[in-house]
Amino acid sequence: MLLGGLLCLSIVLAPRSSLAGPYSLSAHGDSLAGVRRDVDGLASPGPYVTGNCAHCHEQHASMGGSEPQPVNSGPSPFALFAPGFVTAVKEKPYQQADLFCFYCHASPGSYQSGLLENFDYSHVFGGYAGGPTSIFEAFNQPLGGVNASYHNLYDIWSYAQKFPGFGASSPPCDACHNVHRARRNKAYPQDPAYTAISRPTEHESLWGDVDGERMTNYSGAYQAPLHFGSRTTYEPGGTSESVADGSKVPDYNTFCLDCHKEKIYSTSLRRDVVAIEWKLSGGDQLGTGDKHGANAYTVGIQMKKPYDELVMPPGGYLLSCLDCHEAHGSPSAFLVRRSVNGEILGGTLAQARDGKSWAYLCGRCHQDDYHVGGSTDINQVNRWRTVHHGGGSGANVDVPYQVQGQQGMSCGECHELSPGPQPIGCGYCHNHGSYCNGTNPGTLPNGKVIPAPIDGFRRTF
Amino acid sequence: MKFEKRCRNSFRWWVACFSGLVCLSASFVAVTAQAAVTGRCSGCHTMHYSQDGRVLTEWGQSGPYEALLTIDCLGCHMGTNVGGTTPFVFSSEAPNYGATGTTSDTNTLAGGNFYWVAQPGGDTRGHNVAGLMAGDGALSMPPGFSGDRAAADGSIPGGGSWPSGQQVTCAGTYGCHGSHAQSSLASAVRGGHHNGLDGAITAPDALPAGGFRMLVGIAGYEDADWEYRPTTSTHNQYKGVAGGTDNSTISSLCARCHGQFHSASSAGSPWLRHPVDYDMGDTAATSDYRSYGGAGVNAYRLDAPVASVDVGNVLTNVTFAGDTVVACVSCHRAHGSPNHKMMRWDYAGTIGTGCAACHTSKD
Repeated sequence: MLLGGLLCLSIVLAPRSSLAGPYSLSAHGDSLAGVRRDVDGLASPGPYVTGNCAHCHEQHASMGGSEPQPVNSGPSPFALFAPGFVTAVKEKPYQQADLFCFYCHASPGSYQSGLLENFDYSHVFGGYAGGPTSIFEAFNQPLGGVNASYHNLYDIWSYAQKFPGFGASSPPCDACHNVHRARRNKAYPQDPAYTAISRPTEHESLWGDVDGERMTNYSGAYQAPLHFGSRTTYEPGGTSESVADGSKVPDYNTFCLDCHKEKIYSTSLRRDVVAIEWKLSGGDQLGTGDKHGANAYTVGIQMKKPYDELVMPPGGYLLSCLDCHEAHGSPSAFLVRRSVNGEILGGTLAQARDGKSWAYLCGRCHQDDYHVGGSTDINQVNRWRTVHHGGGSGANVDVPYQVQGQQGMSCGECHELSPGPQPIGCGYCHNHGSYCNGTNPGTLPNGKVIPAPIDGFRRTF
Repeated sequence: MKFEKRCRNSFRWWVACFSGLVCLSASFVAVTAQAAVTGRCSGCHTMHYSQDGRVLTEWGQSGPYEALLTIDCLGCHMGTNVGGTTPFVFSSEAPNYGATGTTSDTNTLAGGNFYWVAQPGGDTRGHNVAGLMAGDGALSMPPGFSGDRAAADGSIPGGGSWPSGQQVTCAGTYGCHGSHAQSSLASAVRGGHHNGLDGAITAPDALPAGGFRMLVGIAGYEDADWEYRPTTSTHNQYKGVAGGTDNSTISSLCARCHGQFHSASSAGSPWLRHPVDYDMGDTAATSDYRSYGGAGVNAYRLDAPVASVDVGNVLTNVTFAGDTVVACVSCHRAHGSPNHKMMRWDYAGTIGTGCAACHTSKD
């Protein structure tokens, strides 16, 4: 009893040292690089140290008798210095005042003291320089014009209402980030202990910071892509081959599927974004998963390094969402990264299904006619006849459509023939959840009818 | 005459032991660690503000004073706390506050101390009380003043309006103690020193004497020595009720002058301002707030006290059933502290210190 009493007393009376918990370990609570709102009375010459709560929260919406900058006509939810999100804004372009986080995560114009830069995944983890310098810019990328894409903030906010702890006044960023825990992964790209994400369904903890939450979860099926410009180092951040097994990569698939396992309407695209089935195998039949996920290639496949191993994982490789996609925004459609598997995309990936721009992405890992045949003909770059019809010097044991005439069809039944057989737009057959049979994709906008592939059914993504 | 001589002798003795007018006055004011002052009338009063044809040196020199007092508020309440005597709220030398003002080597009281406010650059460290220090250089009126929050006697600070530049006073129209209906400080707290209650004040009336610390209409459990070196079993128990409509809570007192800070802070979700008069027991059972005072222990924290609906007793542990009510004084010292914004702990100079008492998952 005496011991218990002393224990209680010591709890109460013991001097409380500086915090060593999640917040002070977080990016925002970092004593050197954490939040520091550059406003009179706060950071300069104010007394609030870097990382202090006051840089984001105003307990009384007043300091020194008035509301400090930015002035937002009084108190804001969660005692933040500005509203979390202006829900009337359904699409980009976003203004800084539309989202609380943009007040600091903008460059230029940041309220954060000093230089705050946030680059995209391709830059930080993929090693490809350039790109947007702030989160605000990432969402507002103009370079791709109509093809530039972004994770629609209103849609995130709307969908995230289902998650515990997320409410009408929550900034949409809160769906993926716990701002009091998110760490400075950008400063330690090779160390997922510094992850910045928290699952929407498990918001009170970080995701990817511990074993069991990484891409090694997939039984050896994951192989990290190459770091930009290198043949010997890998993502994230240029790690060595020995740890390119996913042990340094958060399990982004589980993370993203908290939302994307369901069909979600996209205000930007004016259509539903398909539900992703990434963890099912099952081969070429309905109800199975994507081949880039747990499902396997059909028979054979021609790949680039590092996916060109003679012995592949049983069931083939499984990718991480972030191997191909950005989280915030991209100059290409569908949040496709600026660089993939160590190489820059050949051009902007367009929204439109026709054309070959989607193959700018495919060609980062898959061999086009130039590669599969060891060709020196530059005209074979981004040409995909071999993988679809066989031929060339590569081993093509599972082509879906035999060469001309072998299925009793002529080229012109599927392809435009002027000037010469034209490729069929990648997007008609290859996207999340896609498959080909006698009715899919069926008749194309140009009237051409795509027949069923060999064996009648193929999962095509 | 014998008494006067004893007093003068006593004065000399006190001067030898202590410095300044403050401690001297303490020797005359016969008080105990009770709310009501006891002792000889002449300890506090003089009929003519004259003794032997002169003003005694131990009296205030700016009299005569209201209520036939020998000195003003400051005269009695300035000094260094040693425990169990007069509550000193203003020290001439830096009090020992430590990190939170609650450890066994400190000498401040529950309200803190005005010392730090009087120091250069000290405006943000407490209330700039008239007569103690100059007015606040930045604030010409109480921040968040709404002028519509009345005490139990119906009085409102400033009558509902606060003149620009008007300093806060100890009591009265612009003060915290006593009735706001009285411009005279002495009249405002009339009866408070003679009839003040101590211990549990659960049903305060509308008189100064009936309220917690002569705060009209405020309930609470008064610690006998004003929280001089408090322990978990000897401390003030502040009144708090969820909802923000109970005018006997300690936070409702603050709201009389800082009403806007009390609005949108006692109901609704999410909070627009930091909540007060909100019971952390209204949070989910799994919330991080339930680890206040240590998970499973839930000890009352002297450095971040929570208020309770029932102030009949002092709590050593909390149960999240009407006894974990956030109050203004959970974070602030009413008089002053060495910390920015009169915080109980060094909030501005640290990252989350103090906040984590309740926001435990941020620890």
